[in-house]
Amino acid sequence: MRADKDNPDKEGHHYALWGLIVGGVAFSFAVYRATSKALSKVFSAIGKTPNSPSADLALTPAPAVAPEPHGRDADRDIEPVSRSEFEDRQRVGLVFVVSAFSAAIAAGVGFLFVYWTGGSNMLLGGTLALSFGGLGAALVLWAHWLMREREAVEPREPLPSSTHEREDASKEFFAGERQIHRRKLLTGMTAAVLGTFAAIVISLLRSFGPPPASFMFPAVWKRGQRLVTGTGTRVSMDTLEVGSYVTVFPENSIGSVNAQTMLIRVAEQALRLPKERAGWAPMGYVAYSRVCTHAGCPVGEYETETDLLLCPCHQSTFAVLDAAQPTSGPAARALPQLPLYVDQDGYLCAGGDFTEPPGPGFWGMP
Amino acid sequence: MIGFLARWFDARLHLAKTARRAFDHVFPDHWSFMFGEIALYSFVLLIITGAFMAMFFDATGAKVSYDGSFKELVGISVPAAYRSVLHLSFDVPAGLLVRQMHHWAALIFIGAIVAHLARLFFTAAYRRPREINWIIGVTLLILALFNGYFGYSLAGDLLSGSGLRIAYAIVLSIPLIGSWLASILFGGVVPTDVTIPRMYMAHIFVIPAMLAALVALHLGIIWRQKHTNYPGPGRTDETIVGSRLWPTYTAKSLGLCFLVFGFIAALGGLVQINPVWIYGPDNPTAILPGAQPDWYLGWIEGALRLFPGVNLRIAGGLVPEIFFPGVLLPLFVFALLYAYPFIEKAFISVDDKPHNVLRLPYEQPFNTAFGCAAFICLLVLFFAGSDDVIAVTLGASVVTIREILRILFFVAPAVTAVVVYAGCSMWQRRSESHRHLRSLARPEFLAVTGDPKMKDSAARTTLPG
Amino acid sequence: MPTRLRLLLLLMLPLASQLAWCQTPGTGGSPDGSAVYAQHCATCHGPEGEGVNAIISIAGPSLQAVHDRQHVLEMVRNGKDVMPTFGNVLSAQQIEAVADYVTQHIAVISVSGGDLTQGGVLFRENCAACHRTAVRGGVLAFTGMNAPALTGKSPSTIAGAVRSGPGPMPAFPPSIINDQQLASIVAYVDFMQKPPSPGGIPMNFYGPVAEGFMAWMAIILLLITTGWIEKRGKG
Repeated sequence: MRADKDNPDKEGHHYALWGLIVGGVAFSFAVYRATSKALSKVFSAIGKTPNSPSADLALTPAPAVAPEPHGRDADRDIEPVSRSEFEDRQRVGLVFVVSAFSAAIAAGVGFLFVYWTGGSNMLLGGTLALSFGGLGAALVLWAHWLMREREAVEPREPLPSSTHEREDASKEFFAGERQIHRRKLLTGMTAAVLGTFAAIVISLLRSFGPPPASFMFPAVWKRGQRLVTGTGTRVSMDTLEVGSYVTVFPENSIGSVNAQTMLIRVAEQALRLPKERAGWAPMGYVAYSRVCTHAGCPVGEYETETDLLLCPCHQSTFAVLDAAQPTSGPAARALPQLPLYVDQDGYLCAGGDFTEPPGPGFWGMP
Repeated sequence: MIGFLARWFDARLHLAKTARRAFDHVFPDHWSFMFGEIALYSFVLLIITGAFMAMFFDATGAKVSYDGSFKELVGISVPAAYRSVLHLSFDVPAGLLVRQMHHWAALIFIGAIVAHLARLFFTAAYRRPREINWIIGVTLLILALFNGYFGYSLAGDLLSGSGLRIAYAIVLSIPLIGSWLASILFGGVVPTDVTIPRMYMAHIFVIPAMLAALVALHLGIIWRQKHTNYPGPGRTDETIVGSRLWPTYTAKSLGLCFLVFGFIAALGGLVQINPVWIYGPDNPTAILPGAQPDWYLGWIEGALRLFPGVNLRIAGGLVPEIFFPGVLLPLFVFALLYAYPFIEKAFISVDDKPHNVLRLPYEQPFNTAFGCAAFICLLVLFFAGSDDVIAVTLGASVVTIREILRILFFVAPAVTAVVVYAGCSMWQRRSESHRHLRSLARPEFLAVTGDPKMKDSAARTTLPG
Repeated sequence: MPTRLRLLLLLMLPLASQLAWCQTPGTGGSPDGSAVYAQHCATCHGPEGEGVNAIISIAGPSLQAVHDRQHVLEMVRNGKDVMPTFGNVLSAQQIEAVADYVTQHIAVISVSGGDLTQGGVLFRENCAACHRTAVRGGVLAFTGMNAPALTGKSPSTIAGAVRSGPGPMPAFPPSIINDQQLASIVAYVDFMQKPPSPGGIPMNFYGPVAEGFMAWMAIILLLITTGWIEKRGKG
């Protein structure tokens, strides 16, 4: 179905159809329960034979143990019924099974109609559900009402083989094996060849990807690279107001995953950067890597009132004023900071690379 | 017609005796024995709907311009896989239905496996001789988890793309070999050119082949060993009581099959799932909150959120904080699952005899208490995985919710274990006193077996309560 | 003074202070819209109509994108939620005058002419992290609130909020998001009020959490169904 053809107002119809199906199923089941007893009486009244049914009991083997009331339904011994009673029951059951099959067929036809006239997903699914469900219900009702339930008791064979069988098998095996293990040199060489195959298979894994060194320590920013926004606009001193932020990239790699950076403007006097990063935030512009050090999601949420960067994935918070130290949540390391300076044209430039490789941690992290 | 076919095949395959034995095969029928079948039939539907969708999917992450019927995205550069999924959803008749049925079937498949596992655990069905099937079953669960994850990550949307980045970070965090593993599995920093094609191959071929083979083995072993029974009259370790395969059990099982199909079709038609057009195409510089994986990975997601940020430097390297909840926790949980029958045999019930009659939950207080505590612990993690959705819905602070869940992670399982253990012991004592009285009155109900525990269970005629 | 009278006067004090806001209609001629605005509206909506930098539900939102004169008339006359009604306080000419002033002088942000597709791209890059691509809001930390859902918000409220950054939301000046881009974002938010949901009940676009919940409802129903299936028949 075309997206624009689907009117969003159909939402109410979804609920209506859901309600209809659930209600319909519940209603059918209630009718089924209510009428089964009544129908049994009706059918037995109609089909009652004048003969006593005692002779028919021979068809039903008496259970080995007298039935006792049990807690669990399925473990109950079968209640024996006479043949004529069972036939009455079958007449009742036939009504139910036929209704279920008819519903299934009707729904199936309905599906075909909806499909060929380009109908909605709702109707397609609803009709298919009724069709499948009708067939399933019909089969179960068939088992309940039309089939004789007989409890079977069988012995379980012991699973371990007998001593005799085991001896036979091991004799056969060792008779052949003797011809192999006497040849110590050859078995040793077989092992050696298999060992080389194992080494080959493990080595072939190398083909699946480049050596880590090629992607683990990317040089993302270089000194002197200008910061640009996603649309390519260079960042100057009046691009942001205090309490604003923008995502920036190096000038020639917009969209770079590793280089994506959050550029935030805060009140300069509020910053509490460590001494060695004193000049890194001209006019309150401070830049941190946007890749979360926890699991690599872009840290896209900036909260102005609390000056926190919040990662939406696992809710780690980083304090913008304190060199992006993690203040809560599962992240353990601060976001790497990017040193900034203003070049002679008034544009913000990177003063070097990030303090650490951006992104989640790994064993070889410096 | 059937007669002709039967004779034709029998003349070539010697089938009559096997068929006769098969028709007579006894299946104990209790409703709780059907959970595995729900999983099996969902798997069948997954294969059927998956085959349909595979005819439309474009398994590459290369960028193309979207030109389909969803107007909000027309003209944007999207992964080709994403475009094919949108094409299937909007422009292929019944395409959206099949796609949604596939995804719902996956959720139900894994849920049914978990329900089945719970039933097995609480009735101690993993005891000898069924340890093999238990191990196969846990393996099936792990494979299903991976396959589901790869499946929804194929669409190339923003939500699953975020999940990929998290998975990459988890693999990277493994000490010493993490970056090599990440390179082998992902081909570099996700998303690479091979990410989608590789996941596709795993999702439609490698893992389903292993699943199918293991499921066939699983069923074959059940057939061979015969199913277990709940305790009851006539049910011993040497006899099996139930109904025959043909025709009753066949009808009921096929009925369940189509009812499962019906439920999944109803969900697929009426409840929207994974609307990738709302999330937008994958973009490593964008993100959205409420980025959860599918439900069956919610426990790992919750652990990732709850585990505090600890910096661990040992032997000259960094062990990142996500290593513990992302790698060690799942390894520990699955190792425990695999080993449980052997641990239980060695230390708890100290019993290596074969059992074909199940143990009821209250007859094994330690296992039941442990199982309930583990379940509650995982439940806390599931809640933690959706803590931001809870926070937004209740208008509460996610930080507070996180702190509460951190405490509950330790307190709730401990309390549960104590309560359940006490409850089981009480119930056991009560039923023993009932049994004692009854056994005095009805000696003929004592089944003749060697195991005194067995005798008592079989002799029970009325469940307490 | 008798106690009851004193009590009565005391009770009338708040009423009296309200009455003090009342102004008799201006000194002949048409009332000055900017004066009315300065006296009655600026406290909550800011002197330039930029909104007060607090949470929108407490103080006034930005008016800088309000172009609908009829809407201004209705809001001033009838109020809404926390905005009081001025229908009894201002005369009809005063209300007309302030409506003119707002739509002609305060409303400087245009919200028309936006491109839906471009708006989607911009929204996903700048806004989705807090508000979700389905514009149903998201979680924040330590701010006492969560990022609100954008459903049911008028285009002018959205545009005004983007420029003014109420509460913990950062402001996006024209140097980052120019007017045409802002109009596009507004168009996207409008589209997402009720996005196409051909798949069925959208469950408010909660995502995998709601889907998992639904799946477990279905599984529990299936487990109950097995109870029905394995009900014993008769032999």
